Amino acid sequence: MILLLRALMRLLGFLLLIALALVGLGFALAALFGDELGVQLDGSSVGRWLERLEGDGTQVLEAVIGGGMVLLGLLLLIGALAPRRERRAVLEQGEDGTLDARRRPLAQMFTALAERTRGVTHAKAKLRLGRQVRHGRLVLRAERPRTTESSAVREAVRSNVGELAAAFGLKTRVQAPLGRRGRRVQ
Amino acid sequence: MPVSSPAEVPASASVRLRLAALARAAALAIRGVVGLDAGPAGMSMTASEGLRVDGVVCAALPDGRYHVSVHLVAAMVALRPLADAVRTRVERDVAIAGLADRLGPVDIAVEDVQVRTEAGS
Repeated sequence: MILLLRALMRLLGFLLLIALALVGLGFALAALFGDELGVQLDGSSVGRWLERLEGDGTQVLEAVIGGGMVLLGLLLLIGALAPRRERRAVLEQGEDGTLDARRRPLAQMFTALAERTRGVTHAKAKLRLGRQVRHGRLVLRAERPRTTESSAVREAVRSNVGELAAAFGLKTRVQAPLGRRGRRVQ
Repeated sequence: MPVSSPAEVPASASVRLRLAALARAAALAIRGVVGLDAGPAGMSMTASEGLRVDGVVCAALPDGRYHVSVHLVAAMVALRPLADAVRTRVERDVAIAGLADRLGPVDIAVEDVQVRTEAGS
């Protein structure tokens, strides 16, 4: 979402700059050579529109456009000010340096650890990292065959990934639903 | 031009580049480090004098030392011992090169993990 907003902000920022430059150029030319160029707002459609706005107050269309522009401005601000650095899972931080990992490979590690657990046919880890260092949430979905108890699989998976999850300060939740047919038990 | 070994860096090169090349070689010598990764945009690197060390960012500190960040691809191993081994090796190699007093903190960033499949193990 933030990436999309950032791309939108860049594109719109570029287009708005060009539009602003052209409008500025137009106003400058009109101010300097308005008489020679025959630019007259009185009686023109722009002049009539301005008169209508002044006379009847805010119109629905103008209000919608204005509201839309405010919303667009807010989105652009979010795109411009949102933190650019991706969140990383920090394992240790000290004078010697930091040890951290990206979210995706860490989730892969948890998936691999869960899949090594006896009785698990397929596993998938979802990792969400908090804004603060060493805060996050790990949800592990470990599929099991009918012959294995859900609680036993949950416990075994928790014991396999618990140490690593705790080292990264992750709160862990393990789900152990029945697996799809055809998946093999480890 | 990418640098793959400290020997490719001339002695006249900047300390920053020499440290980066040493750190890269040291990290790659550790069992459990599959490779180094410059990131999707190739920004995690140190470049100077037409040479480039991918996967290592070397930044100057106010006290004259350099902060080194090693961006690595790890095998499926315990990360803390791996980081300790990389740091120790970097410190040793940098000391051998006579640059120990220029080395600051060494960050280890795990950019990817190579999980071996059953068929490949």
